[in-house]
Amino acid sequence: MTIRLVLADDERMVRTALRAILGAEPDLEVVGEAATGAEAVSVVRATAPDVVLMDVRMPEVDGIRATERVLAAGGERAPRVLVLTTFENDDHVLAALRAGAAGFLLKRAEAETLLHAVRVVARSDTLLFPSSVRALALAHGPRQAAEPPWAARLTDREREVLRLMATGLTNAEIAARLTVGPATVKSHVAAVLAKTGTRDRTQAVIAAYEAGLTGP
Amino acid sequence: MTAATARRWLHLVVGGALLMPYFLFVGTVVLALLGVPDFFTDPPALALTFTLALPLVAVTALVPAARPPAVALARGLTGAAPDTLADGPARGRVDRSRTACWYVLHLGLGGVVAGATLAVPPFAVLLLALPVVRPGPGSPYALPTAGPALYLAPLAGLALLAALAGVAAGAGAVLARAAPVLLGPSPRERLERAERRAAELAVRNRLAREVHDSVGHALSAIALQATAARRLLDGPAAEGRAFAGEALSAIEETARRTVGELDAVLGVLRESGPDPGTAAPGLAEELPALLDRTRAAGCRVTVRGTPPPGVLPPPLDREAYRIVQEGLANALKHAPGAPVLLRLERTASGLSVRVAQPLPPVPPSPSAGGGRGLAGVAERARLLGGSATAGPCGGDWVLDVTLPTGAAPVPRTGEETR
Repeated sequence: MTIRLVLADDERMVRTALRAILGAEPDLEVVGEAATGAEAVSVVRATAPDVVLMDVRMPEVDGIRATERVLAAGGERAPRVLVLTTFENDDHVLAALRAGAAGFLLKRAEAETLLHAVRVVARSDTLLFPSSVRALALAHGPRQAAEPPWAARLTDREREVLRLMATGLTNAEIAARLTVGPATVKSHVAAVLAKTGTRDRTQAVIAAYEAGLTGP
Repeated sequence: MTAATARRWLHLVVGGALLMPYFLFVGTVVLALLGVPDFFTDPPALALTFTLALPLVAVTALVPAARPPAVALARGLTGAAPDTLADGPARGRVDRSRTACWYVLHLGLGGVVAGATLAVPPFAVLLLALPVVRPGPGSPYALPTAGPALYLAPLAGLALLAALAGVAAGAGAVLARAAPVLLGPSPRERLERAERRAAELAVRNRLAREVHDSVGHALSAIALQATAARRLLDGPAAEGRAFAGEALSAIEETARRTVGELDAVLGVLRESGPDPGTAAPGLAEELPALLDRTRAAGCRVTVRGTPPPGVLPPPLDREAYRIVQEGLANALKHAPGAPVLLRLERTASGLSVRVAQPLPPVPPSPSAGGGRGLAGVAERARLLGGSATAGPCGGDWVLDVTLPTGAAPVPRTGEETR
């Protein structure tokens, strides 16, 4: 099954290069391009892609707000958003992840990394670049003095699952680690997302870092 | 004795030296009125002169310009933290009075310590040597010549030296304590300093943002284009080659544009550097170097009519330099190989600058970032009461700027002060 992609970046050069790299892969298909955040929202509505590659800084509606709108408009069937950034050390990126982006990618990344990121984000059962997410959350996130109220509602098992999610394990790997069935892990993950009030693994893991639940 | 104590001692001796002219001036009058021959035989005259010299010091130290040298000395020699002392002349009655107090304290303590520094060591040496060297019969000092007192004299000499060092260290410490109080910035100066720092920080942040926006994005785009080109070269030949060709020209264009932007950004960095001693470059002195750099970048520049140095008022000279700099950078950006004519003409009312270049066969794309430099030129010209036009003219692309000589210096915005 091909992964359908939309590219949103205000620089044409970036879009053409991304299209050339991604379009050459048999399992990927670029179905639309957008030069602004507002355009990205309407292109996504028209093409219903699986993944949006979203530049974090764009004129008018930026990548953060465009991510919010795309996810809000799509509801359950919303695409996954992969945020593109020039610099890793950018608080906009964390804001985009909080807004619901599934992962982020440096524009200077090598082609293999880019393809890996798109495929991981499309599969959605594992965290993209766990160490980068950790660094970003610790460098830019607010440090909370006390555990948030939702932390007390997590069971021990759910805390354990959340910790393993943060290390970048897939559901199957977590199941193997805890010697339980994949379906059990899936329900734990669902419970974690519900209790943390987050929509995906990335958001849940960032919330965990900011709450100090995953160790220093 | 630590290096800090030694520096403070030196500071006191300098204070003593500064007191000398006042002391001699008052001393001449005092000696004449009292009818005594010299200070050596009349300690009360010495004390009177010293006491009368200090008010004179205070009066002359009320001059605003008295503070910077005092601050410079105190910074260098008392070990006071640089931030605790004020910059610039004292303004206002309170600040000038504080400076006057500082001078009285520095020159007063300095006079005492410097005098002791001159007098005590030779006398102490004399005491140390007393058991073996007897003073002659005409000696003015009533020194023992026999008995146990003769052998206590060296101890007294050592005690004198220790006392001198103690007094110097004590006086030095007093001055170091007093410096921030008497030479420190007033609340208003503190506020001004904070504002200046905030402005400097704003410039730094703006530069960081500009480098981020222009250079960072462009280099990312270049990397991405090169990645795509390399991958497609390995793929099906015809299609891949076509893309690789496009990618290479995109890389070339982006790199060229970015270098221009980097030059502009670094130009701001140089202008707003923390060293206030380096003035902004002016046309009169810096034009040859600018032309050299432009030519080194591959641009053939012909110049007509260089204004002789000193003819332009300095603000106009600096603004004209920046305008020429932007004009040449712009020419370099849009048509790197084409010859450029730079014409500088002194007119009756001011200066006229023209940068002309044959239009390239393909008009330059209105790419992002292009034209920002020219907007800056127009802005500068407008602020100086002049005008700027840019655009095609005949077969050339021409930038025309006129700057009136009579223009008042423009009040600069906060981030450009200094």
